[in-house]
Amino acid sequence: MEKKVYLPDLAEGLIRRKEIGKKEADLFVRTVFELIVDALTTEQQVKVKGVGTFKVVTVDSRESVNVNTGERIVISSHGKVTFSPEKTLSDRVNKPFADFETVVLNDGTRTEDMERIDPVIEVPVEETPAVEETPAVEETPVVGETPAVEETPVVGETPAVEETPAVEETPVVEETPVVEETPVVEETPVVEETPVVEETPVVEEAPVEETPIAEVPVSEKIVSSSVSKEPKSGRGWLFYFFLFVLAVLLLLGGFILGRKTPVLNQKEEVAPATTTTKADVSAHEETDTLKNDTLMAEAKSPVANATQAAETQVPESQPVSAQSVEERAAQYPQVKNGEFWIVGIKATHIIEKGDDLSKLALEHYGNKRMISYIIKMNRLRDPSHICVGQKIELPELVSRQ
Amino acid sequence: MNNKEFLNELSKRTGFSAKETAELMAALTNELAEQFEEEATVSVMGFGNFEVKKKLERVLINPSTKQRMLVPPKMVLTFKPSATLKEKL
Repeated sequence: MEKKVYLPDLAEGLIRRKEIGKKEADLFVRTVFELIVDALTTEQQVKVKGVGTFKVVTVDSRESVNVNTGERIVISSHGKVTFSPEKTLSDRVNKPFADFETVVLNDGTRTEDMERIDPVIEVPVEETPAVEETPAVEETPVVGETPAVEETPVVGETPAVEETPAVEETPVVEETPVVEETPVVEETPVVEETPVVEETPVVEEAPVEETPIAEVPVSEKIVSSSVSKEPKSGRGWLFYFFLFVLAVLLLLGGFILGRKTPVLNQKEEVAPATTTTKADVSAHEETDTLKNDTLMAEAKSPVANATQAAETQVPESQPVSAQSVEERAAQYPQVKNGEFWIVGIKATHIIEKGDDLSKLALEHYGNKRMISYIIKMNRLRDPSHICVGQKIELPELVSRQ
Repeated sequence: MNNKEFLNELSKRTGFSAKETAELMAALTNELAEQFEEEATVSVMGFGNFEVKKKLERVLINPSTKQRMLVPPKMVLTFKPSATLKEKL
């Protein structure tokens, strides 16, 4: 397949082109290359028009190892011939591909990217609630009403669930009902009316964090989008929409009230609130499922222990800490830009064989990422370097929100 | 050594006139180029091998702009010096 050409062949070609004898042609071709070699030995480079440039590059001496014997040998400095073809020649060689040009690839060029984009377009509804509702405290019901979220693929939920591991935030959830007691009652019917049952995962996340003002439009958007998605199911979607807006307003009002009322109120209400909410929940079938889901979620996630622990702590520590979190935090090293303040020592752990910090973080906080707090708390320089018997203090964390 | 010096030296060695050597040299390079176009390997004893190699297309990323480029496949002429040439240097 591959054609091999030697000097005589080149000479023949030369004879075809020029009227010279075979001998002369042979001589000429040979001398051309001899001359190049000679020139290279005396000079650094030889340029031959129409072919290219031959260069001699000196290579420094270096040590190497004889592969067979393992002896060290020194490869002495020597010259190396490099050849760079002239532009005209390389173009001729490249003729078959000359029409191709280097093309700039845009980000979306690959099919993978395309696939990735599609769901994003479909699910913007999901994303917005996930992102924007997070900071807010109160919108359990609001979230509950977004059935669209459930209908759209599950994708959106999983990240949200991952956010939940933030252990200390769950207690906040407990607070929310306190604030909302009145609205809660009114909202639950709303929940019943909306056909979708499984709002729980969202519910879990949403209560954790939400800025109230930002939500109103957001939630409305959600509604509208959700509504637009289920036009088949409801002729009375307008009615739902109204209910939803009402619920949102109520929630907001409740939230603002709750904010204004001093921390003391919270303290008193915490216990009853939780119970009442639970009662409410059990009262309604859908909400029952909610509960189940939450339970399941708890069971599944290692966070469960942590959350429970957090819950137990909350009633006592929360109101107090709310005031003095910053004072207490000041006593401990803090993780820069972290989600939590380190406000105390929850426990101490003595390192055993096989322990590692991320495992500890996972056990005690339900999330490997919390390792940074452990590292900070113990001022570990090299977290990958811990000894058996070393004492590790596990920080008590309070959400910065 | 540039082309002029090369041709001068060549004419001296072969006995052709400067003009003739230039013409012959042009003919030789043409012949070479033609061989390369046919993807032939030109091997010259005591000098080395000229070979045409195919390079596959590849994606290149501009390190400063992170821009991705698709570099098309191409044919490249390579030269591999022979052992005797290596020894001489």
